[in-house]
Amino acid sequence: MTDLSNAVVTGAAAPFEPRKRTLQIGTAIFTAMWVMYFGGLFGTYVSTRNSYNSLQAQLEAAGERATSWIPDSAQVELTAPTIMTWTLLMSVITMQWAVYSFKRSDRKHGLIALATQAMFGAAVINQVAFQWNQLGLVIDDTSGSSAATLIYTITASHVAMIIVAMCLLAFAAFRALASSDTKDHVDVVASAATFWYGMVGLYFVIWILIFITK
Amino acid sequence: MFTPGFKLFGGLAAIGLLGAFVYGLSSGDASGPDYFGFVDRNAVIGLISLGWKGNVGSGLGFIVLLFMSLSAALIGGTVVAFRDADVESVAELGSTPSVMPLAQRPTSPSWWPAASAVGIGVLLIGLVMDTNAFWIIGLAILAVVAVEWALTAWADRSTGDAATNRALRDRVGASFEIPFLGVALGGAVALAISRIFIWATGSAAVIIAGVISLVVLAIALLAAFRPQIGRRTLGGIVGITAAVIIGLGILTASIEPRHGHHSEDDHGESHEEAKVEGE
Repeated sequence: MTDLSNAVVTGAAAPFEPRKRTLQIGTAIFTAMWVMYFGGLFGTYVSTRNSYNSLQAQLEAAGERATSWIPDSAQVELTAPTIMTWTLLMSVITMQWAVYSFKRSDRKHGLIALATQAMFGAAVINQVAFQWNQLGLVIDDTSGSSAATLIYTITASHVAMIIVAMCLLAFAAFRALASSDTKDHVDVVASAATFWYGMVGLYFVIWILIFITK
Repeated sequence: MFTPGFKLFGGLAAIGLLGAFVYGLSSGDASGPDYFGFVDRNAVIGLISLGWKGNVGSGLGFIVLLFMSLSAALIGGTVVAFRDADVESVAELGSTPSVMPLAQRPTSPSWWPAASAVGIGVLLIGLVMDTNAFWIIGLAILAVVAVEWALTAWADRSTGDAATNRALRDRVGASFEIPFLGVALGGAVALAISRIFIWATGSAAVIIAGVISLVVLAIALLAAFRPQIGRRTLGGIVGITAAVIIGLGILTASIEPRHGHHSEDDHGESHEEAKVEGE
């Protein structure tokens, strides 16, 4: 349609010009927004946890019954978060595989890499759902601890980030399928990779902050 | 060497990191000989290990400042890597520097994203409040926006000249916009007139119908016998008339009818009153 209208409207300037790197810059700002959002959540988590633990220490010193930050009824296992961390670390390699393939006009490998990447993303979401069931955290816990609310908020926000990252991958795959040369869309897949790496880095913090140091 | 974007965000990252450390030290235990924490080994270890060991004072401020620094470093690193979105860096990314990937030229600002936000807002309000009128209006706004936005996007990609694109968009859009808007305007005027009649009732409604008919006839005669007045003037007269009728329709719909009510409850009450009077 564009070519047709060009043919009809003679004398007008061409509709396209050399592409700028606004996509990478925009994606970096978008990723930074998520990093800042999680920074606020992590800060709130640590601050609330410290306040709660200090209060419980005072209660214990006064001879009263103290409760733990994460309720004793909850089952915080390290297996699932560790598997997720390793899965995401592996996905960093496949993400780079996709960028490498796009850069070399290798559509087939690029698409295989993106499909593998999507599989990793889906696997992590599946693990998170499994972990939510396993945790047994009650969100309206009456012990006074905000652990359940904050843990669900942080982990669910990360799932949302994975879904957004997978949408970006789908967009890159669509561009690869629709284009005659994947090399023209290296910036698209590189931007998706930037966001993906940000997501992986943030999960690493979640893994340490929530599941290791608890 | 360093781009303006990097200088801005790099500086912000440095300030964030420095602020996190200063905040971590100063918000710690300030009592006793370890004031400011400079001689407090735990505080220094805590800051270096980012809280893994030791003490970082208030966790909230420390982490928020640290993440601010990280975010700014991410943006700063990206803008310096891509030379503030410079075109040449695209060529460097590919293996053929002389052939740069093409992209659409910048287009003029569009109202459609804002209009779609309004549509989504109205739709959500309608769904939350369970009000049919709202969510139907929201859907209608989104449907119109989808068509118009797609048309504008198509036209913007047609040529590199904004005026030509606008002309192309208007030429294609007019084929369905004018009939659609005409039907919508006619429907709104008809609805408004019906509201005025319901409000007026009786002979007043007959008088109002007569006045409206005369106005319509006068405009038609003006258009027929004074064609030199111009399309713009005639369009203005028709527009003002339609606006006045629709305005009166909204006004009369929002106030009580002149003679009694038409609801079932009111009928019931009047029957009872009649019965009492009859007794």
